Amino acid sequence: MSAVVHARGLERVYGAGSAAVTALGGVDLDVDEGEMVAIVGPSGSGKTTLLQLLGALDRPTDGTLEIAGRPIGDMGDDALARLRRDSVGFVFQQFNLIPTLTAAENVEAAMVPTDVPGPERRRRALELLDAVGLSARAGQLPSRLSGGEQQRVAIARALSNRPRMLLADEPTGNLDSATGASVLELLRSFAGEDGRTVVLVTHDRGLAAEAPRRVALRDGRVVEDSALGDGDSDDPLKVLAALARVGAAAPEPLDARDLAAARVALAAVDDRLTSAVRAALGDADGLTYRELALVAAVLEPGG
Amino acid sequence: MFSIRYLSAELRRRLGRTILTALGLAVGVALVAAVTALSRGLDDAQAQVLEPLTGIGSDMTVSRPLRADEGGEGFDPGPGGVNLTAAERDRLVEENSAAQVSLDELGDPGDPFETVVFVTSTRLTFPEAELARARDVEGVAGAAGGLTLSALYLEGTVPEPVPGPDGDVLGPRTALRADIDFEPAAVAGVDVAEPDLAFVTPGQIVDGEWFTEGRPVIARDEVVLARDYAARQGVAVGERLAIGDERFEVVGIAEPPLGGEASDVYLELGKLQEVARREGRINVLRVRADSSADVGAVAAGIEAAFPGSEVVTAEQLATRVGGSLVSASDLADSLGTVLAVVAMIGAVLIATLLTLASVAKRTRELGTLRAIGWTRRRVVRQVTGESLATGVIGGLVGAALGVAAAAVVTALGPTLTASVEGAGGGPADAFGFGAGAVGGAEEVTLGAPVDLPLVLLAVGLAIAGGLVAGVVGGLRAARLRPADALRSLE
Repeated sequence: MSAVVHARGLERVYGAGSAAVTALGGVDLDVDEGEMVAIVGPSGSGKTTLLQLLGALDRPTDGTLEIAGRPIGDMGDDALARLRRDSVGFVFQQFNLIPTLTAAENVEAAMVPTDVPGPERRRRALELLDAVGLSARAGQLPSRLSGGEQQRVAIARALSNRPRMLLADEPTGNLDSATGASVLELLRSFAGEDGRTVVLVTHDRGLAAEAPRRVALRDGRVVEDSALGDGDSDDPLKVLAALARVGAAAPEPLDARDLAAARVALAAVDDRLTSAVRAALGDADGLTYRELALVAAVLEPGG
Repeated sequence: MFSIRYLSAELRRRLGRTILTALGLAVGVALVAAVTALSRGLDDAQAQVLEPLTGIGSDMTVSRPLRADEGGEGFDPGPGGVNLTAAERDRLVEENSAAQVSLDELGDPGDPFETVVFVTSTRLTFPEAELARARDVEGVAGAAGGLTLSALYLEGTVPEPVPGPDGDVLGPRTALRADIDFEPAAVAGVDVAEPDLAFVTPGQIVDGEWFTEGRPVIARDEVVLARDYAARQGVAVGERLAIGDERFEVVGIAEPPLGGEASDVYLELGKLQEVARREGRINVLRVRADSSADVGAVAAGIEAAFPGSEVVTAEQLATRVGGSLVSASDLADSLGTVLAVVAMIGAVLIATLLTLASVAKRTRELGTLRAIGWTRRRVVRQVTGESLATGVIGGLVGAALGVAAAAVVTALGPTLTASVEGAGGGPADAFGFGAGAVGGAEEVTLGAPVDLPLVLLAVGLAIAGGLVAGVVGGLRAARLRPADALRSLE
């Protein structure tokens, strides 16, 4: 499973000297293909800064960041723009549609920097609008569309260059709950498609709970990653449970990072493992998520 | 095309701002176009007035003026006295002795008489041979001689001699009490072999013909009159005019150019020399330079070759022309240009500020475009394109306004006056004698001609203004960070 996002020691500092503000202070994060991740945290926790870095809108002041396998630290503006065009689709809280362009033209706008010829762009735009259920509204200006419809247009726009990752910034923040749910459903359906990754930024706990994986930020640091367990406590059972949740969708062996976390957790609960399980795990090399899920199930209180 | 659709949609969305920007540029370029057209019209009008002076014909007039030394004032000729050599003084006395009319020679007392005497007024005569010397000066393309004299008509009755206290009969002074009319006229002799260098050129004939060109023998009996003089005398083309004992056929009526040199009566040079008893003498050289650029050098060369000479170039004559035409032209050149430049700068500033304001308002929109993969260059191009389109609209409207303003000026056809102070010069002019510059005024109708290059200039200026505004706005847009599209959320 290849990582769409691979970040190590990610730092973003605004300003310099005594006026310097650290928005992100050393974030490690890996997001794999097909994952749907919710980044949560209070205002000022650094989640929008993280989203900007993940979307190649900004460069880290320190640390390394690879998007779709490409390190962005040394990329020029044009290269970043191409990376955004080809690999990232943005969905914004305020929809950010161009008010003077029709729904179809808004979708087309994202394809303008590509080599796709005009007629093909228009055809694809209509196709995408059809996919989000808005084929009848293609000729309308954003001002004539409801909030939900506008966000659907924005999703269609975000998908127009078939990106590997969708970045959604509070995608339901300006929508009522029913509309928000349908938009979320739409995002989820695309997440499953072709191994597309969806990263949501939200401070809506309910919305975050819908995502299979949650990453919580506070003061510019990851304080919780459901894939790794609760960052606040070192409860090995929770770590294993989180890893196991990933396992439901991933029958492959654990990657190095998860394996390291799993080893620590397993060592901590070693006394609770039966000798048979211990023997089956061996030194844990080659452990798959599915196997880990079974171990976790055994260890669950009452399991 | 997407960017055109986007551009026109943006211009329509901010219609008020677009109209304001375009109108600002339009007013700027309209002013530039109108002022330029007006300035051209004034130039044309000036050229029309000055063309006879500076166009074909002579580039300069050379004479040997009679004047007081530098430092002399009023009746005091200065320490050096009048600038004449002894020989020149003698010559002057001799030439003007003819003016001392002896009443005894006119007839018996009571007889009617009519005579004409010729007086050398402000310009000393010199031999015709000087002409050859003038032709030898470097840069001289051609030269012709001329003779300008004051003719004094005397007409009346020979008075009775008045006995003196001691029984002597007094001399001609008694004529002052006699019944005699004086009438002065400026007479000029024309070399008919050099029509373009003559005092009166064929182009100045307004009625009839010029002298029979190149045929002095026939031309000897012909006379050309200045229009004012002919009107005063009640003489028309085809009629005959008596000068002393001679009869001449009036072949043409001439209107000398404003500011140019004019006489009342023009005769063939040889004939004038004969009737004025100045055979072989001339007092003016009319000189043409090889090229107009050489006029200054040639004038200096002649002044060096002819000490004491006075060289007056056509351009110097032209500077004497004044009046509302010149005032308007000066105004158009100075104030008009300043106004147009200020208006243009103002328009570009307004366009730039409005574009900057627009970019500031569109931070999120432009940031969104960057976020979805538009490069910095593409965003700059979009913003510049919108401003450029506004410039094109402003340019077209402005050119139309400018052309309309120019058309209104042309349709109204205001008249301007070109005027010249009466000729200054030598002392004899105080008595109305001698040839001098033509004074008076000429009315010229003002137009404001517009041509395609001017229209293109106007449109081009507005487009350039739009481009400046667009580039400034575009650079500001380029400095926006794409991350700003998301900022409103944190």
